[in-house]
Amino acid sequence: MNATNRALNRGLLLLVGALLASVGAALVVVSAPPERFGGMRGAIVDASAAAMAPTLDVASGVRVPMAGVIAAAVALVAVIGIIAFIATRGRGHTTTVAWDEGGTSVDRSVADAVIAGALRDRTDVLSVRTTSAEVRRSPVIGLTLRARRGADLAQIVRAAEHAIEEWDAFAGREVPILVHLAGPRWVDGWHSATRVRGPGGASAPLTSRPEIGARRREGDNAMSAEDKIKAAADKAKGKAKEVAGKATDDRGLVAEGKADQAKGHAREAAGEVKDAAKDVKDSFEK
Amino acid sequence: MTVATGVHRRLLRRETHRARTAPAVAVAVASALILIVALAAGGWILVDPAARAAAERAAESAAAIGIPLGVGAIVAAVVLIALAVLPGRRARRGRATQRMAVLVDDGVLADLVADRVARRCGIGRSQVSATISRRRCDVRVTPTSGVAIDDGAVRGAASAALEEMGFPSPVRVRFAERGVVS
Repeated sequence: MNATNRALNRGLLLLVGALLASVGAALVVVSAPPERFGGMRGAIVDASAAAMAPTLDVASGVRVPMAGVIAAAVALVAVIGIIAFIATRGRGHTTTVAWDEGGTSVDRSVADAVIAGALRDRTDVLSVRTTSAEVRRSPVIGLTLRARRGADLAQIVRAAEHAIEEWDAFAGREVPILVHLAGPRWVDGWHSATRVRGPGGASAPLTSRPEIGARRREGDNAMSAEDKIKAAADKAKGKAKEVAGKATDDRGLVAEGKADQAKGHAREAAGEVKDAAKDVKDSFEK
Repeated sequence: MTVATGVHRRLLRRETHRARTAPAVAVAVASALILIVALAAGGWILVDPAARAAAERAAESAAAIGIPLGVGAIVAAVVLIALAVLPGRRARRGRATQRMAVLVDDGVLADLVADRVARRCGIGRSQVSATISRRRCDVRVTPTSGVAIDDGAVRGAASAALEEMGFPSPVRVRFAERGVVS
């Protein structure tokens, strides 16, 4: 993801291609036996002789064709142009994902922690990479997600949407975001089809039927939207503080961030307890 | 609040087409080298009469290989012009939602379709293969010997998977003539 001028890429390819084609055609015509392109050959030879005829006196007794001088000047300009062309490829890379007139800017690592961090916790996601660029004077965030074989992609897209909501709440503005569900690279063939989650979670068999064992589906989740948002906001705020603290070596801020995140987790846990209680109540009523 | 959908559309258009930066930079480097060598050679020929004589002899002997050289140049030119003019689509598709742009590799989508078809028909994943091209999704199913598979079920599962991701596309189903023992 960058802001390279692609029309210029194609323009250069077209220009060099056209030049090469005409030089190749002229070479073929001139080198062919005289009875083949007789007239064309004569025309090319005459034209080149005419082009070389006017000469320029560069020093006493040394005369060079005018066409040679012009060609040298054009070649020099072309070399300078080519160097400028190469130098301007791959423009638009930036590590800043949000900025405002007040001079506040947000680094990509913060977006990575808030958005990609939430997705990395999922068992059906192999890897998440965050990129950023400046396109049309607007910052753009790119997320490249590689899902495990057999993962529910629509659910991953929803999870990404959810993580982006958290990010929006934190950043206070909507930065354009590109989510790319990429295919596996050859190294991903080495990963197993399942992944065991760390302490506190259960292993998630993904290639088998995921509905077995998953008693509560996403839609039934009764944890109130307000609770969820508060918990998410606490977690996002905490994560951002932690990252900012680490970046500036501010231990106090890191601790504060961790505390905020813990608060978020606690809120979430409280919400789940509420849900569980409701489930028990429901089962009695049935 | 609407995000700049123009930016999303531009991103999707760029990410679904090749940048052509690598061939353009390769051509730029090669042309710069050739021009620099030609400039140096021109200067040298100008100041050194011996070099001028050698260059004239070399030009005469080069006339013998003029035709293959010219044909080679034309072939290279055709490749460069094709790179400049062809759209260079990548095997990806994208759509913009209200908040973000979603880009999916065709291979990932094809895997999803094949997974869903295998699950719906109760056959092994290795008995289903799916290919997604620009306008169509091809599903090839090798049934288990003696077990009929409903064409509609395959089509339905494939269409549902594609629609769920937001990339509906016509589905073509083909069954292998001979089943396998699974």
